[in-house]
Amino acid sequence: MKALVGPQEKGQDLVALDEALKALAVVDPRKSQVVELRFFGGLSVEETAEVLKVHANTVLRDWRLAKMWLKREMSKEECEG
Amino acid sequence: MTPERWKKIEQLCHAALEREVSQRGAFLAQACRGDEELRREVESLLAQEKPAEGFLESPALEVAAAALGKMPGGDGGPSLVGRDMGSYQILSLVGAGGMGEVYEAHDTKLGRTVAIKVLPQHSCTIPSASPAFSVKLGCSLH
Repeated sequence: MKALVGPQEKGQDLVALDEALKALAVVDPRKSQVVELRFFGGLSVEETAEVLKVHANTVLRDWRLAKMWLKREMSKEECEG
Repeated sequence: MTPERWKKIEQLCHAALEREVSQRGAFLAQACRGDEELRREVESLLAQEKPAEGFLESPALEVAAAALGKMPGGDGGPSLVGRDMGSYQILSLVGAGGMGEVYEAHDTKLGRTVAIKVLPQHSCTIPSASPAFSVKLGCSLH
C-alpha cells in the first residue's frame, strides 16, 4: 500500500485532489463518483458497482482511468503553482 | 470537451493500455491519424499509467490522519475548529483529554456529521501505530 503522496504535503494534496475531482466531475461524473466512493467512502470495487448499478469491471476501468486523469490534472496544478 | 470526444479518448486509452508499451505508438498513430490533438490527449493520460498505480490506494482517512497529526491542533496547540481537512469541515471541539481531542465535523462528501478523534502527536511517530484520528460515520454527537 502506497500513500497518496509523501508525508510532507498530505493536507495540501487532499485539497488539490478535491479540486481535480471537481474538474473530473464535469468531464465524467461517474468516474468522479467512483473515486469518491472508493477513496473517501472506503467502498470495495463490488460495493461501488452495486451503488452505481454498473458491472465491477466498469468500476475497475473507471477507477484506473480516473486515477490517471487526476494525476495529470494535479501535476498541471503543481506546474501552474 | 464534448462527451463524444471524451468517450473517444477513453476508448483509445483503454485500447492502448491493453497493448504492449512498445506497440502503443504505432497503434495511436493509426487510430488518431489526422487528429494530433486526440493523440496528445491520449498520450498525456497514458504517461500517468505508472505514477497512478499506487495513487489513492490508501483510504482518505489514513492520509488525513497523518496531515492532522502535523497540524497545530494535533498536539495541544490552537484548535482545529473552523479548519477544512480535505472533505471534512471541523465544526466544534467536543472534548479533550490525555488521549487526544474529539471534534465534531461535517463530511462534505457524504453529507453527514462525523466525530474525528485526533491523537497526541507522539502517537503518530511510530509508523505502525494506530491512525491519528478515527471517524465514526453517521454517528450522532447530540
